[in-house]
Amino acid sequence: MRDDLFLLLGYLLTSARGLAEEPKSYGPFRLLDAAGRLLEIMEEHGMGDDFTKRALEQIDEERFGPSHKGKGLELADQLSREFAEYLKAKGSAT
Amino acid sequence: MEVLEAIYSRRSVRKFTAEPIPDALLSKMVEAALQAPSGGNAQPWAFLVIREPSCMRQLRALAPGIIGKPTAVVVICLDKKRATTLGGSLDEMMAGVDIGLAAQNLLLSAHALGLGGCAIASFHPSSVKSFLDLPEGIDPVLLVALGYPAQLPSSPGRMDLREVCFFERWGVTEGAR
Repeated sequence: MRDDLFLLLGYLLTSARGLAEEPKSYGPFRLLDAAGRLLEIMEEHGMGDDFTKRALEQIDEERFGPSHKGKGLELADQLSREFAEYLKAKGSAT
Repeated sequence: MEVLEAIYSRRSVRKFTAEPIPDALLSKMVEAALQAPSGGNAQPWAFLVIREPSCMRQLRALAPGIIGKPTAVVVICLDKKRATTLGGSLDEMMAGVDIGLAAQNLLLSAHALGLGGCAIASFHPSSVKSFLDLPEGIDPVLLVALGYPAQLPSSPGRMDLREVCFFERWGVTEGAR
């Protein structure tokens, strides 16, 4: 898992630099993709659950669909709300 | 596959199966890229084909634009020495155009061979150059992610011809000849 997280670190660093010159809409997309990559790592290492599986499926729809599908912000809103519900349901176990 | 059919049905594919691409097909696609038009026939390009999964995993960390997990990536590089062969001030711009044309040939040939691909400019150029040990004068310009499609996206849509194409004078969209 260390290798996977280390590569994710590289992705975050190179994204941070690249986004300065890329279209504004790439910002939310890049962070959603980063969330997708983190969720993949969680799934691969047995740390997933129903929430992470569903979130990954929704992110995949966005990142593998046509370019500029434009639903990235909507998806980020929705996943943020679902994440809040997830936190509440988990209570102090998180 | 007919040329027009290939042009119209090609999509940017970002999700791939794990099936590796045979070397013979990779060579065929790069050969197709070499056939692209080139200003003054300078051919200011060089290609580096990445196939090893471990190298690919690491490259993805330096190229955020590689969204899925391709089984090959062709790094299209600018060969600065060849780009300046003609000695004009437009050399660099022309080299960029040439590389774009080569990338399109690569993508269309991939599509014709049952593969999918996506051109990627979102990567950290100096990190990629260093990671791949590219020599002085050879710079990465475009990455083309390739693989067998696991998902074919629908068309993102294109502008209407009348919005962007005029005849004889700007703004004239049609007229009897």
